[in-house]
Order: sequence, then C-alpha cells, then structure tokens
Amino acid sequence: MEILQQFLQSTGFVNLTLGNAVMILIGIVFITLAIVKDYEPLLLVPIGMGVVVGNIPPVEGMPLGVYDEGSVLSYIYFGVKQGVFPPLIFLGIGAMTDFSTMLSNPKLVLLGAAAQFGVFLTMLGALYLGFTPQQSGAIGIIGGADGPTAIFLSAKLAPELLGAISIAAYSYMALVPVIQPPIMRLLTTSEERKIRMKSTRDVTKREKIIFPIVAFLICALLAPGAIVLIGMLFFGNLLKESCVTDRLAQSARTSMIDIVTILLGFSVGASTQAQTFLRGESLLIFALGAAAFGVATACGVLFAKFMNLFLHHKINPLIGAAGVSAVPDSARVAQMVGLEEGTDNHLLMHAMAPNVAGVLGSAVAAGVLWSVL
Amino acid sequence: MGFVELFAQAAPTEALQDPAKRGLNNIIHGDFNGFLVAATGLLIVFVALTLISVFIALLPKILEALAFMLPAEHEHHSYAPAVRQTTDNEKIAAAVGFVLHEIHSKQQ
Repeated sequence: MEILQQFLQSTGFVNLTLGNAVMILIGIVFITLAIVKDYEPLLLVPIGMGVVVGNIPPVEGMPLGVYDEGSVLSYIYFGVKQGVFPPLIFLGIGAMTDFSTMLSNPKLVLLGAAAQFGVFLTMLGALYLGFTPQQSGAIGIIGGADGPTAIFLSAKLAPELLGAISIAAYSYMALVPVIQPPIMRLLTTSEERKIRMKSTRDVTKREKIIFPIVAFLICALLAPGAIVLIGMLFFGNLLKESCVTDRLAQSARTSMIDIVTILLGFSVGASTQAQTFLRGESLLIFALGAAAFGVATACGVLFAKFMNLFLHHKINPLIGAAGVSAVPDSARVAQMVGLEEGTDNHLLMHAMAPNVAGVLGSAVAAGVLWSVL
Repeated sequence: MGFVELFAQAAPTEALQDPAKRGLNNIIHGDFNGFLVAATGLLIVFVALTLISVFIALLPKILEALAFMLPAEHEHHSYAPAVRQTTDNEKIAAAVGFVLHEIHSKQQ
C-alpha cells in the first residue's frame, strides 16, 4: 500500500502545476495550428510536442528534463545550447537555396538589408524596457525572422532567454501570412501594388558557382562573427551549384536538415518548462518580437518605395516585405497580396531575391551583434 | 500606468523592475551607447549587402572580360533538384505564373 502511495505521489497528476497545464495547452495549440492550418508544420509539430513533453512534471531523483544533468534530453539540448544545430540547418538551407533570382536582379538585395531595421530598432526597444545589451541583441534578432539565427545568437548572448526567444521567433515565422498582409496593404497604394515586375535574365552556372565564394568573403571579412552561419550557408550552396558534389548536397538538404530540425525543434520545445518560461520577460519578448516583425516588414516595403524614387523600372513595393527572411513564406505572402491586384501579378520569383538576401542580412546582423555585444 | 510599467510589474527580475535601469538611461550608460551599436550594425549590414549587390552586377562583365582565359562551360552531372521540397501544386502554380509573366512582359 505504501509503495502504491509513493508511486501515486510521483505521478504527473499530483505534481502538475497550473503553469505546466497552460504550457501543455500551448503545445497542443501549436500542433493543432500546424496540422489544421498548415502553419510551418515541420517546425511547429516538433516544437509543440517538445512543449508537451517538457512540461510533464519531473520526478525527484530521475534526470528527465533538458536542464537535468545526464538526461537524454539534455544531450539533445546540448546542440541548441552550444549553437551546433543552427549552422547545420544553414548548411541544409544553403544546399536548398537557388540564388538565381537574386543574381539576376542585384538591386533587390538591398531590400534584404532594409528589413534588418527591425532587428536594430527592436534591440533599442528592448534596451528601453530594461533588458541588458546582450539580451536586447538576442531579442532584436527575432526581427530577422530566421529561427536558426535567433537560436544561435540567443545561445551565445542570452542563454537564459533561449526558450522564449526561439518560441517567439518560430511562432511569428508561422504567423507571417497573418502579420504581414495588413502592414503591406496599409503602406502601399493600389497603384503601387499593381506594378508589374520586369522579367529577369538567365544566370549562368559560372555565376552561381563564383557567387557563394565571393559573397562569403565579403560577409566574413566585414562581420567575422557571421562566419559560422554564413560560411555554412554558402558552403551548402557551393555543394549544390558545383554539380560535382550532388550526393553531399542531396544529404544536406534532405536527411541532414530533417534530422537536425527534429532534434532542434523538439529540444527547444522541451526547454520551455513552465517554471523557466512563464515569466514576465517572456511576455515582453513576445511583444517585442511582434514589434520586430512589424517594423521589419514596414521597413522593407518603405525602402522599396524609396528605391522607386530613383529607378526607371519601378519595383513592386510588396516584395520589400519578403526582405524579412522567413524563407519562403514571406515571398509567398508577397505573391498572395500581389495576386489580389490582378491574376497576372505574379511576384513569387521576384520576392525570392529579397527573401534570400534577408537570410544573408539577418546572419550578418547576428554576426555584428555577437561581435559588438 | 504606462505600457512599460505594466510589463515591468509582471517581470520578476530586479533590472526590469528598477525604473533607473529602464528608458534612455539603459540605452546609453557608461561606455555603452545603444544608438551607436544599432547605427553601426545597420551600416555594416548595408555595406555588406551593397558590396554583394555591386559584385553581382559586375560579375557578368568580369566573366565576359575573362572569357578568353576561362574554359568553356559544360555540364558535369545532372543539375541539383529544386530549391526546396515543394508540392506538385506549388510547382505547377509557379511554372504557370512564370510563363504568364513572360508572355505579359513580351507583349509590353
């Protein structure tokens, strides 16, 4: 009888707190959003399940959670804590990315830089609210709309906020189709949204092979802190474009990135235990993250309008919103909003240029923040 | 009660609850100047992407100038597959969109 009583005392039903229950509910909402609404399912399902697993109350004396030394989850979480997983994901992204649209229309690269205003303005906002410079830099990078970059930087600068920052970054990335369109419509006129983009030129294989090497040198020499992320991104792209390492490129963009995404998503989710996650800072981080996304989108659109003042062939300002990264969702949003102004107003291909430039921009911004802070 | 105070009440950490550690005092304190960090960061991002943009714009001309010493382009193996794993519907929509766009551009 005593043994049964002891066992009952160790069950989750007895030790479950209200916070744990709330977090489990949040995890189930993530899974539901992914399955029912198709919002970033590859990320939200592992994260959601991780949140559920991470909030089962711990049993005294048994190392189970990500923060318990020697637990299985802590070994998986090591890849997040030490910033190992994000560069590996960047390798896979590089092996998937086709820079052709960017190479065929180089001026659109600047839209990827403009969207980084969101990162730095949010950093100032976080400082204003009382966060430390390191924490502010890590919070600001949510505006880069790049999950792996946000995880990498917060692991380096503010590991205590890693759970909240990564959940905020991925949640807002999943909500790109909800957050961006109202801002895009608000800042553009119907006439501007109807601007048809000029067709792009063909890009030679030689350009595609030279680009990752030179672009890496430019970024790495300017912001050495970005070497890890940018280096892996361009290495992956070189594997793809060189045409002599197809097997490696294939592995990087399929099995490897899938495995790392599963491990990263699940362990990040499991790190959001109510005791460490449900705090005032998390609320602030979510508010700042939303502001970061909004500001980044607005700056991309406004910068495209600014560029139009000097351009003979005008660009559709909607593609400026794709500069926030969030590949390829923000490019899809530009396409979706563009199609509202005419069934032949296809922006997807053009929006991919600022979209991939945004990945570079946010990685460089992360490198700069890591170096400076 | 303002927005900042409202959130600060919810925050358990000493730094967030202390008004002296918020506002402009926290953006500029001691040797640290948040405005300068933000401006420098943005500048570096813009310089990096501008240099990439200029390089991309010049690349075809550089390759053309060096054409006499470069070997002829040939395909090594089959090209790598698509950018990412897309569904068939997305591929078809993208292809149809591109063709329509090309036709429209030629008509203009």
